[in-house]
Amino acid sequence: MKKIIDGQRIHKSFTAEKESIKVLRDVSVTIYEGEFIAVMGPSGSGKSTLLYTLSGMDTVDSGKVAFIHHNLTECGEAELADIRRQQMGFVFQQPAFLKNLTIIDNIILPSMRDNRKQVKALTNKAQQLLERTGIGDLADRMTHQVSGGQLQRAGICRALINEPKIIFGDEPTGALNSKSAQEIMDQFLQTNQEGTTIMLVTHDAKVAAQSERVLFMKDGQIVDELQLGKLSNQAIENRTERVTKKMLQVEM
Amino acid sequence: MYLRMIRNDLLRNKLISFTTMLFITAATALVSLVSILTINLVGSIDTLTKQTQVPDFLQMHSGDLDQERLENFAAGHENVKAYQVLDFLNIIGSKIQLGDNNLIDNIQDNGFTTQSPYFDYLIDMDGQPIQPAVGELYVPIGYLKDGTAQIGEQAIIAGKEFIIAGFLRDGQMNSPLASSKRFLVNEKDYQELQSEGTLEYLIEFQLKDRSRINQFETAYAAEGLETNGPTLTSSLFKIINGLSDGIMIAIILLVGFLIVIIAFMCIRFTLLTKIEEDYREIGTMKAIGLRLADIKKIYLAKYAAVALAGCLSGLMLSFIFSDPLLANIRLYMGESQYASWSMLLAIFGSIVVFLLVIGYIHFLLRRFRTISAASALRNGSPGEKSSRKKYPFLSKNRLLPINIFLGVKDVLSRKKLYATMLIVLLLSCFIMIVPWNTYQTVSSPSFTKYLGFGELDLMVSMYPSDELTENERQVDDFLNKDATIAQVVQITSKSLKAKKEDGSEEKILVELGDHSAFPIEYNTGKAPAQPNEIALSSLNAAEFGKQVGDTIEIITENGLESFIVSGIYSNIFNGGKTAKATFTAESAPTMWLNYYIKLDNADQIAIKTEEISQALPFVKVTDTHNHKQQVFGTTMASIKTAANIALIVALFITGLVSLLFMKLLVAKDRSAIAILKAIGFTNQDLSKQYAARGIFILVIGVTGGSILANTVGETIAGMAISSFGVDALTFVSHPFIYLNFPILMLFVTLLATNLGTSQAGKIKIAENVKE
Repeated sequence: MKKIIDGQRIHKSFTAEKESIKVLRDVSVTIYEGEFIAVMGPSGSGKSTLLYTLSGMDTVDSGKVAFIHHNLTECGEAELADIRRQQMGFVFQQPAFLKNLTIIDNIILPSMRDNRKQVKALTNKAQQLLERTGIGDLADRMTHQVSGGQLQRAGICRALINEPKIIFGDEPTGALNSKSAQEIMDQFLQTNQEGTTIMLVTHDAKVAAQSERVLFMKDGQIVDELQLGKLSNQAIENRTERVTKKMLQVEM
Repeated sequence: MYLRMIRNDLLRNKLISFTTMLFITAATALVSLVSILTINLVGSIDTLTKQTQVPDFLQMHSGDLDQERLENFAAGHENVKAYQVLDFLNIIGSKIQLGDNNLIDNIQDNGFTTQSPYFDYLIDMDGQPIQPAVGELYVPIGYLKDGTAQIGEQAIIAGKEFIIAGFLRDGQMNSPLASSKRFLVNEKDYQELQSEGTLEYLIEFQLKDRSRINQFETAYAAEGLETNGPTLTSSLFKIINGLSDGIMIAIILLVGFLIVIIAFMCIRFTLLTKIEEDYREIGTMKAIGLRLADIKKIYLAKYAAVALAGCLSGLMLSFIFSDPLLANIRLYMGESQYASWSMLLAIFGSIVVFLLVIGYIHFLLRRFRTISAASALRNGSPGEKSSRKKYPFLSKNRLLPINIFLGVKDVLSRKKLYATMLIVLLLSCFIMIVPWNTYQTVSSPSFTKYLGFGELDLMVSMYPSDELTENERQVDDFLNKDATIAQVVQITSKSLKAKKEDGSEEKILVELGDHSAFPIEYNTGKAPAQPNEIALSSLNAAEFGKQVGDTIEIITENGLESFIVSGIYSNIFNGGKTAKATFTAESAPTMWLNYYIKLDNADQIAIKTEEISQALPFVKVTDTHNHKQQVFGTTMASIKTAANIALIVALFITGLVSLLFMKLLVAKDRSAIAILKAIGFTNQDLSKQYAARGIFILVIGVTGGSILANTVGETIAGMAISSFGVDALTFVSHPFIYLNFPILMLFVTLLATNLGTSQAGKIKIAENVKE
């Protein structure tokens, strides 16, 4: 299998109140093309920071992050932005939208930077994505006129608009009720089946249980890993149980 | 506790606090300056008027004088306090040599006189009447200012040697706007000079009751006394003395007023941003039971500290800057008798600014009342959700590049927020354009049209003499033969009498000839075309109570004749009381004869002036451009100085406010910036978006400011210039004002935007995208 992300010996610390806190300590992680990977861990374990450093949104103190053939740790700001825009997609816990644009305008925004002339085609594509996620009729609403779950679906649409190689999700279901959360997960699963690599950070064992592989973090290190394989409908309860058990072990 | 809170807050928001203080400083300094300058100007004029004992009524007269008849009139009129007749020996400029400078090109009527016996003294720099010794010459103060003369230099007047012993102040003729200047010599020297010039008389009266000056004027005219020359009154002397500095004060007042508004806009913006930021905290304070007044005090205390610092430093600055600005007033008119009052008034002005600021903050803080503790804690600031607009759609946009679209869209959807910057840019633009347009207008060649002159190059004048007819023929011949003259027209000024409403007769100076050749600006109406039409100067129109379309009765050679008033125009020369008509009046006494001349090539003015003076020694040739320069030079220079200061101030404001605004905006937009970066927008994209916002507001601001400058500004400038007797002003602008000023503003705005948004690139996605 081809590597899509290869992080080697990543160190990262933050300075707060003149005190340096090590958030990532010698973390190495490899993600393969087409994989659906989840990262779990208690608060402050460094899982979100890992996601931000692997996606080039945050810098590392030392170590190396490679994305396909790009060395992200040596890329400039503009090059990183280009990679994020053209080859990556992001879904955040809070709906990160521009408040003065409509839903559909927010979705086409990353693509409009490079493809202004194809606005018609883009709008059609965005509309199709909205239909796929079941919110086709909300295209022209403002962001404050829809629910959190609907907004998160729109977030997936925006992540998909440039047909990225990988989608990063930072607790994408964290602010949703369980019904909405599952609807979002269904979208991720479908996207993954269509070939897009997905990396999620989550607290939720049921969410993690739907991925192929779960990494467990504690105190800035990856302490354990669980290979679940492809999801089949019957297996989900059993998988959730396995994830929960592992998580309890990690937290102890 | 307050002190600590204030200190922490000031340190945390250094730029904002500093800028707010700076604007309050500037506003206070200007308000205080206006107080100081005004009171000094008024005081100095009063001092000068008192020390020189300016006459209340002055009749200039050339020709024979019936001394006895005048004395009888003065003795017989109950309102006359004192009366005198002074000599004014007019000597042509070429015969006056002051040090290395010859007054040949000087357009003033330079006259020589001795110290007057009873009033209208010529005084020294200490305010005492000067008694020159033999061989001493005292020179009008204006010639010190323009560097024409210096103490101790040798002067040669009509071949006679003098030493310049000092400079004199003259209550009547001090100002460059006054058309005559008086030199002072000893009685003995005066006798020797007498044959070298033409004698004019200044018939002067001081009145017991100044308020009844109009009755006195009428009585003087009714007696048929000497009137061959302009009539002037003490109020006119005061106006002429105060005009140049008055316009400067008016411009400072205008700029000061606008800066007070800008200071308010700054306070409003920063305070509202702060309240929005602190929304939850305010809710918490309310929730735990702090009273509204207590919460207000915390905010008020901070701004009170800033306002106090600003007002104090502004007051200091005004004391420092008032000195150089007072120099001109002091030089021309001496110390003000109210000098000690000026400081008090300045302090009072500063206190007013301080109270205004505090009052305004109180007014802004009233919105605390509407903050609900519960909803503030639950939801935070309501923000501006309600005003966010859907249009224009990005999905319908094909025209604008994405970054420009996002910039413009942001401005459109947060209009209230951007209104602050817009208003500041608009006012800055206004402050830049109005003084410059005023300067351009006054210095443009066509400005003479407002003064009762057309756009002519030369004016050849002749005064009545026995050879007038013969001389007239010679002039006609000479001018008609000259191929370099593009246009020439003869205008004869005649003294006629007109009937007033009450039946009394009043002297009226009528310029007869073709008035369409060199058209002037009419405040209302048009030039007289028919023989039964007449145009009146605005002062005459007021004097006779006439408007366009009314009729006025004038005694001509055909007896009492009615004329229709065809137009009213502004005129500051000849006492401002003139009329224009096309009829002929052979038998009426001619006051003077003018030829208005336009040359093919304006570069030839100097040569042609020389040529005509040589060929026709009996005429006076006036280079009208030079004439205007000498009359208005000082005024134009002070307007230009004010305009340049205004330009720099406006650019500074533009830069500073843009910088402050953009910095606050970036802080406010942290989360949106993080989102844009996360989905792949580069720092350069962000810079472009902010630049687009800046430019978009600038375009609206400059457009609005220009429109405002050309409407409201024109009216304001018109009011200032109306003191010249110019009533209906239209700006004459130069393209560079509308081309270069916006480019300058653009440059400054972009620079400030760039500096102000440089932090946007450093915003961490991870920390801010979650908010």
